[in-house]
Amino acid sequence: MRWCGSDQANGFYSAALRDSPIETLARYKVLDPSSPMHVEGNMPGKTLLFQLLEPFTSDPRIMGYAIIALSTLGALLLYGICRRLFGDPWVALYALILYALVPSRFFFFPILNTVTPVLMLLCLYLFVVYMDSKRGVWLWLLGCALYMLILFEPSPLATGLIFMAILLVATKEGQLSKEDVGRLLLYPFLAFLCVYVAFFVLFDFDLVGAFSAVLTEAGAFNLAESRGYWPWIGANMREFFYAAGTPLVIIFAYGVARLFHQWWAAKGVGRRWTMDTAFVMGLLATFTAVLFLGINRGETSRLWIYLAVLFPIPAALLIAATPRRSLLVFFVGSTLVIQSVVALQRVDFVLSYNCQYQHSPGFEAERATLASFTTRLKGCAASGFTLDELRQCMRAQEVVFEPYLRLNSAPISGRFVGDGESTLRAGDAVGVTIYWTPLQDGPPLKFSRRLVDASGRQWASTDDWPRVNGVVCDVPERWRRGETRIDRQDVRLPPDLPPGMYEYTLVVYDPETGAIVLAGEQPSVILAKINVLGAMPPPDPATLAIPVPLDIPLSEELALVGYGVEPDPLRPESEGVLRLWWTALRSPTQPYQVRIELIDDAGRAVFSSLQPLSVASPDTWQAGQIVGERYPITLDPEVAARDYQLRIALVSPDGTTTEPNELATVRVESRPRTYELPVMDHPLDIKLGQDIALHGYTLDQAGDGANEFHLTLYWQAVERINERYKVFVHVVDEAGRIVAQQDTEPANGEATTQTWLAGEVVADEHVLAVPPGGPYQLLVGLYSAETGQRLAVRGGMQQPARDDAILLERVLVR
Amino acid sequence: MISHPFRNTLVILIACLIGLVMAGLVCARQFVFGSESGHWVYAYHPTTSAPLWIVVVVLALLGASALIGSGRIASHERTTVFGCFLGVLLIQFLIHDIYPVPLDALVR
Repeated sequence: MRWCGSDQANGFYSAALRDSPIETLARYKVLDPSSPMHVEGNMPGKTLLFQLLEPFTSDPRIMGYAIIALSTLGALLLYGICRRLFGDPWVALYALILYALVPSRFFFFPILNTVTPVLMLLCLYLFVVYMDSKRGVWLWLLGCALYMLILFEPSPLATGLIFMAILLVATKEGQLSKEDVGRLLLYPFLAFLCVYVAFFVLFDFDLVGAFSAVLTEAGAFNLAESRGYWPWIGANMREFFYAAGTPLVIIFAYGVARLFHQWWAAKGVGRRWTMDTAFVMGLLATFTAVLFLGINRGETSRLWIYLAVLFPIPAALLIAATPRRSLLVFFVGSTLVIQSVVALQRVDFVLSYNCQYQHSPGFEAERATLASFTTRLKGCAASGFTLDELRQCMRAQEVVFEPYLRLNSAPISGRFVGDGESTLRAGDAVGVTIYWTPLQDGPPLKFSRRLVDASGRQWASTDDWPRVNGVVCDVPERWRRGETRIDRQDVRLPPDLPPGMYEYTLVVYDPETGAIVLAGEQPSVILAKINVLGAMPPPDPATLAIPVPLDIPLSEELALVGYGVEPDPLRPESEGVLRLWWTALRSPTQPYQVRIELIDDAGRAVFSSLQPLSVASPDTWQAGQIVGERYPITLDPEVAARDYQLRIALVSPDGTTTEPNELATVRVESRPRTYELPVMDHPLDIKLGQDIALHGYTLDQAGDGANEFHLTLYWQAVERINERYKVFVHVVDEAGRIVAQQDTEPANGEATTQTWLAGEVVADEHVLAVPPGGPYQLLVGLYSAETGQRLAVRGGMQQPARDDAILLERVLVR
Repeated sequence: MISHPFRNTLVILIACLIGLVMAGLVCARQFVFGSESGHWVYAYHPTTSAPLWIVVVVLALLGASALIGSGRIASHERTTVFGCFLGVLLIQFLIHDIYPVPLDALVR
């Protein structure tokens, strides 16, 4: 398998590198969700084209030029068609020139939609050549070309209406006899059938089945992307008006108007249809059909290139009939060039969809969303589901993040394993497409998506601004209240993620203050529950970020392949984690536990814990599986700062313990502790709760305009404290409104209260920026980090505490 | 469709004028490619510069194809078609160079 394409702008390229042409055709029937996004939703012909080019060059740049040259072959075919249909070399020449200047082709070079018209024009050319020569060989070739067209891109089948219009006129004018028409219908059909059977037998490829799947997915795509029918009727026309070349579209409209006028003015036998009339009316019918069928909703600059390249023909007909035709074709061509250059300089036609987006987490999510949809579609097709039933899969999950946002629904996506929509393999991406509605202007908010296990441990996360169509949308002014927005992002499951159940949660917060926007009364919303299986194939340990690689078999079933401690060195002030990477020598038969110990020089264990090997039963681990587990290490604050031996042993359910294995020396460090009160500007003697005292503070003004306050509080633990408390420092105006605040654990989290020893003095610094004005009151206190309940304040104050907040002093800011 | 030469010329010139107005709208970033309510819009990126020589060469090639081609198509059809084909091929390569992402990056 050669998977080296970057998929930046054209997934067909990497798919072509990955598979051989035969594999491409054979794999297509399974709609492999591991394929790049565009490969999934398209017929395999585009991948095959790259595979045809590959023997000639492996240089992507040369391939790009080759695609432009291939696309330009359409100009020669258009020349041939016009020359034979209208018999005028000037019309044909101008069509050739204008074909090459159609803006939408420039916008999307070298995306393969620019090659689609060549196959369509080849069919039309063979059809026209047959009308001239009446030789059946052209019809056989037409049948083959028709197969290739559908294999590459079936959308241009809509231009069949132009074929029909030309056929009608040719028959009416006596250019084709009934026998000729009979052959025209029979021979291409037989040729098509022959190629169809040949591909089916030789490559196990069913063109009709593939076409049906692509058509169904197009409908599902519109549904998944919330692309409604009516908004796109006008928007598609507007976009096409520019992308097809404004002068060409206007001239076409003028031609249509004139034809209707002439037809209306002529009576009876005077109403005569010519070939140019047939072409223009056929093009009108095709455009109308494509527009109102509503299959393509958006991106018509790219998807309707095959239509746009036909618009030069009416323009060429009109220009060739004017006296200064060479000058006029120059004017029209120059206008098309200017339209193209201006748009290429400013609009992200390819970038926004691919390159730039690919570097954002949203790209992976979109891929995953589409892969998920295709997987579902496979299931739907097998089970006979309809699109309406699929719509029901888009579960409503309305949650309001007061007061700013409403989350309407959040369908999960990924490469689901089996029939379930919630089972994924480690290493895959899990994405969520959030449909949200801004309710009220507010501060810029960030979305944090987290993968947490049943015990609340976080395993993966993304933290990003919400996006609208892949564009960062952090500025509230851009949010239009009431409109539904789509934000797609994903979390990559670590390849060594332990198998088990996880929750995919969303937290919305203000990055400026860190304040969480509550969803109802909850800080987070569970978007999905995911069952994770081991990565397949298992990751190579060399590719994992294992701090210390090992290879130590601990039993006949399990071996350690590495370890790491976080933080390193360990600190009693913060919860530590021991990471152990296991490999299953064979699938474990029993639920082991792990004994973890830190041993001092005297052989005493300063830390000892017995924890399950993994959150879920390890009997799901396959032989060769690599799993990176996390084991919390909470050290007693009194553990001395020094080196300890880390000892690991496996414990079976029957109590059998493997020989303890001394892995390494682990360093423990602790913050410097003091038990002496310093000299303070403002000594106090205030008790908070039973075990904490505030003995005083110092306050300095600094900064421009002296509006920055440096406050140092001096706390003392009367006894060991088991709970975590946060310090609040509020600056309030006379009306009681908070004008500045800080809520943190003591010493900015460096000296959390449960690590305070009896008698220890903790200097706790805070910096506050206060707006000019005042007088303000400076209030402090403590509250439980878990419940938010404030600690009761007792004694030693000039004024009684209000709401268990201590008034330190009044301040004025110039 | 092919009668009234003067009116046809006028229509073509007006069509070109409207085309330029549309280009002006894109230049001012006032034209929306897509639909916000339809949940898809092509974004505008910071304007990149188009080397003047490219525009000059492109217009020269276009002028040559249109003027010389018109004069010679009746007498030297194949040569003219081949020459114009090469001309427009070169025009396409040149115009694509304006796009801020290299061709090979787009292929990959």
